[in-house]
Amino acid sequence: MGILRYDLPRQALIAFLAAMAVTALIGYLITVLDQIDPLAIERAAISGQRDGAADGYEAGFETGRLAGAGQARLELDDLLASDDSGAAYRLAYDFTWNDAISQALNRAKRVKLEVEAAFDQWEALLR
Amino acid sequence: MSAAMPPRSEGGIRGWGGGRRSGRGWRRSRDPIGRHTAIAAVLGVVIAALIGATLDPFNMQTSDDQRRAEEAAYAEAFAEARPAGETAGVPHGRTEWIGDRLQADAALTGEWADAFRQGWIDGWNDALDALHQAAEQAGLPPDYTEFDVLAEFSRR
Repeated sequence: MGILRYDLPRQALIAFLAAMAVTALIGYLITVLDQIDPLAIERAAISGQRDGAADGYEAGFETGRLAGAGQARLELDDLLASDDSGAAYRLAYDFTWNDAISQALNRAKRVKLEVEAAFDQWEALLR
Repeated sequence: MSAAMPPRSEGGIRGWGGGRRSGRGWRRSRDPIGRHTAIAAVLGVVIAALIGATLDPFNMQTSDDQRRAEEAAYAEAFAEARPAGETAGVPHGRTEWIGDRLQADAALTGEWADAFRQGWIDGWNDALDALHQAAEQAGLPPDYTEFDVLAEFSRR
């Protein structure tokens, strides 16, 4: 520690330590003021998970929908030549059945004001 | 201007620092223009900021942690849900495209196409009937939203 006998290193050390202390103090004050409840973090994580799941499913569904359309374009001639009319009927029937229910559910949930609802019963109809 | 300035003296500026310049480098007894002190102070700020940013010594949860938790949960859930959405989207897109094509082009005929068109109509109409029936069985009054919404849908 003999180096501190000299003014220059001593001044530099004091300036260094003082700057660190002031910075740490300011950082501490900012952190304390910005501190939040751990429950809020959990809630944010749950919210992020819910949004991520919905957006991920939607993004994947859209990708799959386009892939399915491309697949159908390639298959259409073979399907039209097929004599399996029962499969064709079921395919279209199930699709429009679910489509009608989904559309009705989405529209009703958007405008619904009453407390009582038949949404559970409607969702149970989905195939 | 020159009257306010301290007079120049040999080897430095009089009045800045306490002693004479003696020796070389760090052995000098003073820091007449404050350069060393300024550099040390800047280094102190930078090092303290780096320690704070990397080691998180106070270990408190702030809005930054909240944002990171939300983003991490979002990214994880997004990646997990995407394959399921893709799997469900393929048959949907396939049937939707065929349905749109057959509805748009009446020249596409045949046993398969006719059966598909019939299923397209029956599935829609039967679903509307089933929805109406379910709403009635739930005991909802006839002026409820469910019935208003169903009334907006036209049968095929």
